[in-house]
Amino acid sequence: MSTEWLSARSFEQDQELISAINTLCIHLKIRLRGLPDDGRAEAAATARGKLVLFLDALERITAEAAQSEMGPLLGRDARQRQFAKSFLSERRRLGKRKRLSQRSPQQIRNLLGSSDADEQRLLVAYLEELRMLLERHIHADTVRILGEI
Amino acid sequence: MRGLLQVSNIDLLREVERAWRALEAARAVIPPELEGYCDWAEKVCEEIRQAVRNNLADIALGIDEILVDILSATQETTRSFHVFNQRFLSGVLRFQLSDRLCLRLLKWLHSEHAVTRDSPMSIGDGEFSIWPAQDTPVLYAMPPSAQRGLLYLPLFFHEFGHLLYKHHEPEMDDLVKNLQRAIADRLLAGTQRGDDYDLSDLVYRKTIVETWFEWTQEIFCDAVGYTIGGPAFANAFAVYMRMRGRGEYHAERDELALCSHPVTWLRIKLIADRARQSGAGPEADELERSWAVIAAALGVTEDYYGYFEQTFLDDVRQTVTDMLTEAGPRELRQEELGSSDTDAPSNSPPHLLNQSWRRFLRDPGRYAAWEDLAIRGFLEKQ
Repeated sequence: MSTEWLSARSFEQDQELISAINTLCIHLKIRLRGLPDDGRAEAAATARGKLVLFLDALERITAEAAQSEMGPLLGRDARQRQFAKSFLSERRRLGKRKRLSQRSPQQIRNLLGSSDADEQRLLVAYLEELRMLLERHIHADTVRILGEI
Repeated sequence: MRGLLQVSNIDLLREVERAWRALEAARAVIPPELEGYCDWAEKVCEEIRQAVRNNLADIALGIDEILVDILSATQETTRSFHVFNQRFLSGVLRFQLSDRLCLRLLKWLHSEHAVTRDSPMSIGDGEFSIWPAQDTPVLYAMPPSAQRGLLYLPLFFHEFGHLLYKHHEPEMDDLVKNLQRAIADRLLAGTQRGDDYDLSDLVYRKTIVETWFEWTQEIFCDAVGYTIGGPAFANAFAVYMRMRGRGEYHAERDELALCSHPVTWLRIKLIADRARQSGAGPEADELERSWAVIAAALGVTEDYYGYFEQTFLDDVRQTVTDMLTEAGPRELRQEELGSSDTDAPSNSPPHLLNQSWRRFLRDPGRYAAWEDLAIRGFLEKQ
């Protein structure tokens, strides 16, 4: 019996999040230019909703992982554990150089509802860094599912 | 960058169009069991087409700041299409008459459960696996020779367990989490007793506890397999796996941390335990005996290096029972166990599969002729 279900679950989750980030970033950047983007407003609202849920979950997982570096992460599959560890490790590695290390998932989540232009620019920067982590994470699942040439 | 994105998106559109035309052509030859799946596949083609059109429209806006996002969107759409193309499209395009056996069984399986009644499904070639999804069709894989016979079809029931887990995910994850806590406590108690395996090593205990997240799902799926298929599942699993080599009986300490599945010998013991709990003592004994004989011949001593201890058994058993209660797999009926090899072939899949194993174990040399007739009879009755 293969572990396809693990990769499938992880792949679908990451794809959905990356898509949400792309939709929201494009929408925000167009709006920050003062241009209309009404056609994407509903998709952007849906994307916000998905990112709220994800960032809430990420806050919980990273808090659990950080609270006891040596204790087990319960109720999480191997890919989720891997992502939480990568997220924490990346924040430590980047230090103050990158925005992702400066705010918690909860703080990024709180920016999602802001209509302030500066906060929206900050949100876009955080989402771009988060997307980079997700794209790195999804690669392992993509290779497992599709193989390599 | 703008030009590169344009070319890639146009190429993707071209590929999707080709996939769509292949689906349209396949419509003429697919059986009713695949129509829902084909409808979904066409919907996916349209969704990907729309995503590509959106990318092209965004490129045409001429806004440089969003090119990096369009790049990510193009890559995301490309990954989606590649997975669809490689895994899901063949679920329709590969159809051959011999697929009917698996498709009829899976149709029955899905129809017996409220959460999957309307879920389209298809099959592909490969090791036993499932792409378990709630909002998309379910893709099962099975080796080609196994698809064409009866003996290993019960292994689909294990894969179906992953789908049931997905449909009850939050409740299942909570039950697994509780089991992980219980195992963590047992391991700590083990250190106080001075057990082996260096359980005083916090990292080692942590690894064991985390590994049990995946292991519990696999053990649950084995239990689903046994609940639906009974002895047919136990025999299919035991016989399929027992000759795959030493690795099914033993894994070294440092290999266990990388195992998403428990050692198969342990899974056999847990299936036997479940069989014993359901009153099938002699069958459980025979299951364990056959594996013990092979293990002895291989010179393997049972050892899970702390990943499993007898003290875990009650907690594992209760957790899996609770998971089964939550998921509600269709239970094998007493009359489906059958009592005789000479029962007439049946259109109840569990009855047919149990009958096939009884016949095979009694007289393997003459089984093939019976199986051909039984499959024909099963397909004619549907």
